[in-house]
Amino acid sequence: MIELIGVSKRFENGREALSNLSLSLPKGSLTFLTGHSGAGKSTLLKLLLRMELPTRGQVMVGGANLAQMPRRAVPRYRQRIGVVFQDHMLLPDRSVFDNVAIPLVIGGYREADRARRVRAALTRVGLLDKEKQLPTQLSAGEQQRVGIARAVVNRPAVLLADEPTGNLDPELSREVMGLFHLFQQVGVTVLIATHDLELVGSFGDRVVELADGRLKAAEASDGPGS
Amino acid sequence: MAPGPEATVDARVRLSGPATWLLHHKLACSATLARLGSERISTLLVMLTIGIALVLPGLLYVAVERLAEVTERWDGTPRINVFLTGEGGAERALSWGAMADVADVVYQSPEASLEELLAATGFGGAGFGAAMEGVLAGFEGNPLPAVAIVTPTPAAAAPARIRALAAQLQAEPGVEGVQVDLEWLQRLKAGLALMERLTWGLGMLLAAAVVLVVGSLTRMAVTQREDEIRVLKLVGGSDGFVLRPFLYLGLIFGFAGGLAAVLLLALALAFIGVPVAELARSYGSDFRLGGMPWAVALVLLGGGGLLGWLAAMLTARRQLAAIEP
Repeated sequence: MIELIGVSKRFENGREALSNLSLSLPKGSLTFLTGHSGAGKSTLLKLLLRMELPTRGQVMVGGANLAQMPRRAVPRYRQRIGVVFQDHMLLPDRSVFDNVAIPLVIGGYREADRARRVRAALTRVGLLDKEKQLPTQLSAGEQQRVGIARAVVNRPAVLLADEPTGNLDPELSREVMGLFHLFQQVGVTVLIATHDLELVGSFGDRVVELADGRLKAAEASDGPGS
Repeated sequence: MAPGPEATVDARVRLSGPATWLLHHKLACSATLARLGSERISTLLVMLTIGIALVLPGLLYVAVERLAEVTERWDGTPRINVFLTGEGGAERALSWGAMADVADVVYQSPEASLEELLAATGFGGAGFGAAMEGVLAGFEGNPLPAVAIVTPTPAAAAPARIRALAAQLQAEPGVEGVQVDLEWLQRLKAGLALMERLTWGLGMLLAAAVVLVVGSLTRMAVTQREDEIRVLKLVGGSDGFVLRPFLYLGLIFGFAGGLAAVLLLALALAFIGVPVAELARSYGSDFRLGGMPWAVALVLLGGGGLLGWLAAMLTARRQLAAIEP
């Protein structure tokens, strides 16, 4: 589903964030992306969201080559990608329902279907009773779950998350990770960037560690534990 | 493209392209209206600012139009008054009717001229008649000359040909003087043309002011909502999608300003209409500013909306393209 071939990214200030990185994430897999800050995690996510273009190499998502994608095709591509941010990036002046509905509005879903899908996504993250509230009325964990509901509401094939548990306590973090596994089980390809190694280790999923823009270790584990 | 579960959605779930476009417009419009509704005072102030800018050229335009109407109605072909001396003036004058550029000649005897004068000055009434006669008694007989009123043919109505005709009549025997009432009409028309120019010039300046006001308001709104724009772009909002609410902002500001201008214009016409009519009456004219001309109202509304939309388009589009997530 996600394929990086010899990807390098050098910024204008000369810093090389990624060098000759190759990586393949099969459909329906869940992968943790770890590494110290500055190791290239954010840059990799930005490449996958087509916020940045690689200096060299190919970035393929679902068969589409992002490096060659024309600018006007980018919105349509992003509509197929779910994304969760560390600071959840909800619109503060719109209700929980309206926040979650944004991707569906952009995608042109019918009103009845919008309502049905938004409620399904909110049910999945356990916030159906908060749909009328504003994001600021919710706790940090609840806000993050609203962000996750927004990311999955139009059932994307790929779900990207950038430090989704960065602001959460361990219990909430495990809960959020549980949600990601739920989506993986229905066939979504999930990539989670995090520096929370303890949490990562407790799940036994594939972990890709970056260091100085290179692959440090890619280990596949076959079960929870360790 | 990612062949996700949604890659092949059916029409029962998702709207067609044009229907999606319409939905986006509807939502952008209602969201912008709601936003403006929550900031009523500042919206009202903007509306008034634009209204005042638009009402000035509107009012000038109405005044110039009405004046032009009056001068048009006031028979465009000027007459030539030829003052006659000596006997047999009537016959000589009537013979000019055969001239190529002359359409009509009316002979007016000194007695008829006196009667007209009395009627026109209001001294024809019973009491004043005696007073006027007293004035006239100071003269030896009737002091007024015989007049031939020559009307040129419409084809000869051009100022140059009328002047030539006047010179020709001046050369006729028994003609004491020729008076063409051409000049003041020309002056009036030149004055009107100048006013018209001023109206357009002022209109363009104030239209530019409206564009600048709405433009800077749009710029502020975009800056305020940069985070929101970033989020919308990240979840797949196109440039058009994020631009649309701001276009509606400009359109609504412009249209509301136009509406304010129409109301102000109606107020102004009612406010100065009476004194203007009175002033005109003192000059013996039935000139009226009259009520609201609907064409002008439509231009103010449509023009205001268009200017606002244009201003938002010009400022927001480039600004939004620069906001990359």
